[in-house]
Amino acid sequence: MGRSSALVRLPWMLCALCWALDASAATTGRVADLNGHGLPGALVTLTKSPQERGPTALTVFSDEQGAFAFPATAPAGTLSAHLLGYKQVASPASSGASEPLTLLMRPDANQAGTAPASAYLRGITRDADRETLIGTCVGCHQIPAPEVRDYAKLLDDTPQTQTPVARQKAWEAVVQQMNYISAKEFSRAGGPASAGESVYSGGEPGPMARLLADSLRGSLQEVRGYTYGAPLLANSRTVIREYEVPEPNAIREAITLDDPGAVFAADVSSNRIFRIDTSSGAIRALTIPGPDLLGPHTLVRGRDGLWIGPFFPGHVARLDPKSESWKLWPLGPANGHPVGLHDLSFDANHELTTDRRGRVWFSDIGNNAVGWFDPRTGKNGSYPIPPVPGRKGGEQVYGLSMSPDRTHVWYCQVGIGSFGSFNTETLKFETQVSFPSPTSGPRRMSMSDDGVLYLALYGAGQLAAYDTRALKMIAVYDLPDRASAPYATTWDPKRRVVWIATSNANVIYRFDPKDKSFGVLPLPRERAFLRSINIDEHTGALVTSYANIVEHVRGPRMALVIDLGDKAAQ
Amino acid sequence: MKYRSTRPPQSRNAVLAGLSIALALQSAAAWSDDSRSKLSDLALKKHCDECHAVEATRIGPPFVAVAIRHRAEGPAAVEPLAQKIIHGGAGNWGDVPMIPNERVSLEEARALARWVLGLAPK
Repeated sequence: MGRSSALVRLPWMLCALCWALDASAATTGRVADLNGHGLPGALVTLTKSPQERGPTALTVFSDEQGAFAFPATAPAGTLSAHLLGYKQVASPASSGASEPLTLLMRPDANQAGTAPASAYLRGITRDADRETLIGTCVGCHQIPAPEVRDYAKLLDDTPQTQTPVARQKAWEAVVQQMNYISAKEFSRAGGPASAGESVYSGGEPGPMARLLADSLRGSLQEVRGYTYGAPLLANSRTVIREYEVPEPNAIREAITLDDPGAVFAADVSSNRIFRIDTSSGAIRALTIPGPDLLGPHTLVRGRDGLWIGPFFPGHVARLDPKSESWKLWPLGPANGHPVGLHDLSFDANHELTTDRRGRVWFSDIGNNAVGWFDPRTGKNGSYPIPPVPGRKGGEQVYGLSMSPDRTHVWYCQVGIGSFGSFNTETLKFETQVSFPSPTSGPRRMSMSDDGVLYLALYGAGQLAAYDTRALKMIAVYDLPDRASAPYATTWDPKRRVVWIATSNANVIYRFDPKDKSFGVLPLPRERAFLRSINIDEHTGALVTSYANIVEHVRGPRMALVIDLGDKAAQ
Repeated sequence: MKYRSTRPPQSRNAVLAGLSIALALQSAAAWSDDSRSKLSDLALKKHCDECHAVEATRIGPPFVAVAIRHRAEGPAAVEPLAQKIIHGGAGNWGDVPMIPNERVSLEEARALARWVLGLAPK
């Protein structure tokens, strides 16, 4: 008797459960055009209401039928859709409606507002021009950012700037302004302005102004026909979570350690590391107990905590995330000059690694040297990189990565288009390789566990794959967008692919070495300026940040956790 | 945020510039006196120093010259100058247009205009 009534009740209980799930669930809906046809591949962003807990915004992608669904844990907020070549027609909808929502979009051939800055540079025919423009401007901001496009329109609309000469003079004023801003930025740590009001173009704005005037033609209020140039990587389970860090800050990198629920982000304008709780969105600042401004810059996961390379001379820091205690190593000057630490040696898992004698290696951007320090003794030293024949001016070292056998560090020199290796056993420089173009711009590199070095060519918009065992260039691949300004590569040991962070195209690229193919993951925000990607070792999520780091460069300052919704994440 | 002792990594020309002591000295002079110290807090906060100084001609005209030019107009000069700060444009001081400053509010622009106009010698 009792048994049968339990059986009778069971379906009811199940139904009640279904209903409960339904009620708490999640915002679902559809993206469609005005004919009612579903639009696949749209980014649907839920922006959290201020009183809610959680990420500042979550973004999912619509499927083949245009359907989308947010995770049940998503906070309440407002929805908006974003799709290249379309504009949303209705005002943003609210989440939590009882019925599935429909976000309507209409085609708009003018992609201004949806296409990235790089879309406006397709008209540049000379590689050297594009490389110089990107290499000079995009270190700080996207080009042409919306205000640059507005300035071009102002020149169109102003009677005094109708001639080519006047237009070039007007751009020259902007170059002078950028020189001044850069000199101010460089002097912020207390030192003299390094290059005064002549940071760009050697004190003579002419050539740079000519390049701007030639490259940024027309009003730039319109851009058409831009495509991502590679298949979309997202599926209906992909979720991008964005966490805004209140200004002022200069968030440069973000990373997770053992606990995927906590993201650490470096503020290079201060001594702060922000700890962001990924469920609640709560943010706490942890302060590196340094005597001076340290400018935490590079973050590397270590087995014993978070390793931090501060930008300003002379320190390495390590955070124990459990006790939140710090260890600081002051570094002595290298050949009389302060150390400018850029990248710390890491392995194919993007984890801090030492050479076989326990020394951590780093690129010393201040001295164009390969440096080392021993965490056990605190001693440090430095080896200046030898000149590269035919490449003079801008030799400073940039990225650095360690070989799988821990006997070599590989470094690149962004300003002269070269890279090379240093033997940490013999303490001798060995290999030196130069790309044909000195402005190709190799920036941050990573190495696979089978010794393939992947270099992001910032100016050239290419990915280079170099076999460090055979000492042979495997290939240099054009990225889907040559003006995307790829800043960094990250070898992904789980998926066995390379992730490429871009600065000028609001996307992440994936390169698959097996079939030499690219895929693209669009990001849901304008000025999505990336400088690094880390991979959560447990979940496989990509962890990155919008790194708009110069004080009054506009753009989001956010940490991101991207759940790709693929098998590697399981 | 940048570092102290190095050049921006992307510009070869910048390195050449960095090597030029003459240029560095020149710019140090431009920095130390007029460019920043005489500006109001609001003018500094809104980055007016990027193009203007109080007494020196930089990318744009000296603020004192702007004040003298509009001295006769009295308070009527505030509104057009405030709008010029926001919208930019060329005409009064040569062919190079002032950039628009959409991050300056109308209230801030009026305060800046009043401060600039007040710099006229009595």
